[in-house]
Amino acid sequence: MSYLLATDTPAYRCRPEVALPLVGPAGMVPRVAGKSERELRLRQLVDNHVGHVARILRNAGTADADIDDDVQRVFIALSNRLDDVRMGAERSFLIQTALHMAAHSRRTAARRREILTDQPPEVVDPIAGPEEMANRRQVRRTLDQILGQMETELRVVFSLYEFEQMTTAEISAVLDIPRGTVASRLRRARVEFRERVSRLESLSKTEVG
Amino acid sequence: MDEPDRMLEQTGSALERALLHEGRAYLGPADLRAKTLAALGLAGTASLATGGALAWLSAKTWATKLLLTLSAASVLVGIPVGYFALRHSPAPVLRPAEVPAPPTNPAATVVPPTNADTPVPAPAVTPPAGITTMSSARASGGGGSASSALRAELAALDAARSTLASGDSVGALSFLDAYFRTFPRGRLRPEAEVLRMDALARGGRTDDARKYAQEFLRRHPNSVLAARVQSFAKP
Repeated sequence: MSYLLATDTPAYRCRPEVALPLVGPAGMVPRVAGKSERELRLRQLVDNHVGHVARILRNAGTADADIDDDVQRVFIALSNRLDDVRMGAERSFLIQTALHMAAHSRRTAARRREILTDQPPEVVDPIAGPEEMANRRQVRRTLDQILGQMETELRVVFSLYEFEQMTTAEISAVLDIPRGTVASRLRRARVEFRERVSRLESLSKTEVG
Repeated sequence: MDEPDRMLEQTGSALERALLHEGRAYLGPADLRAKTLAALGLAGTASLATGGALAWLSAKTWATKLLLTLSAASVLVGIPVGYFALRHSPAPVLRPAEVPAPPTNPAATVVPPTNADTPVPAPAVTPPAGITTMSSARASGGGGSASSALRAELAALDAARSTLASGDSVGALSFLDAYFRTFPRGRLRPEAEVLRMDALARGGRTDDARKYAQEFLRRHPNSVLAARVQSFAKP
């Protein structure tokens, strides 16, 4: 078995070595053998994580229309660095890459709005009644609006904890921040989320009443 | 450190719960997996998720694997394998700028690979009476769902990829021509175009591959496949 050195990367770039113990000689990562083995590994990763990656991207701010392309970009990035990613650390790599991709997607969307329309993002109609709100698309738009108003660092922790159901320890490892910071961001995000939901509900009641 | 309960496990308003459910429920488009595999160059018979895929894996010879691949595709779209077996026409020549047009005749022809060194235009072939082609099956509404069409696309591309991997670039181009005729609006068309560039380049037609790549980049400058195409577009 051949080995290559694990490399250090700047914060918020994908860290293939994250959250896994070393395998083999200290500081070395086992290199994946054979093309067919590599393809099998990639295929299994797509099978196991494609929906997961799509959800992370969507909840982190990628537009529905861009999900296809961004999911493919995430897996292409994984494919390009597969030999550097420890066995078992692929999920962390995919999450980090997806978050990075979603941040890029949000910035691009914001620029597009500035250049093309000079309009603010679509705002959910607060007078939509319960029947309308039950409509899935309306719910999704409402969720997008609420998440879009959160600070990015709160939104990411909130999404990973509430939607991906990761533990605070897992989030701490993936984002490379202390666990206490994860907990405090989660608390703040929850307060914001509840306040915004309450505001929408009260606006709706006011308009209906 | 204790983990706080998830918000969905706590009491909340109906709207709050609906929003949290929505955040968890998102799965992306139905064909996301297939498209991702195709973008990675992994679109293959394993994507068919049928017992036939196991048979394909266990088959020992390349020819048997190819036959099984074609069988899987034909089962999905109603083309008897015998039709492929009867077809021994040489591969048609395709120039890069010639993006295949939708078939004027719904009875699209599917040409098997050939080992000929020099591509020769294929004669127009009308399928034997009673043969149902991919296009006509879809046109008649008998082709099944969109997902089965996508599986058929994947199988067609896999046949081309396997042929190319065996070193038969002309045969791979034949399969790709058949793909473009059969699926003029195919969802995996960009992947098929990249595969064609690869086949042209491996067949020594690097100028054609470059022109085709440049044309692709002009049409799809932001494609996720652009990085792969760039390697063919360079002089």
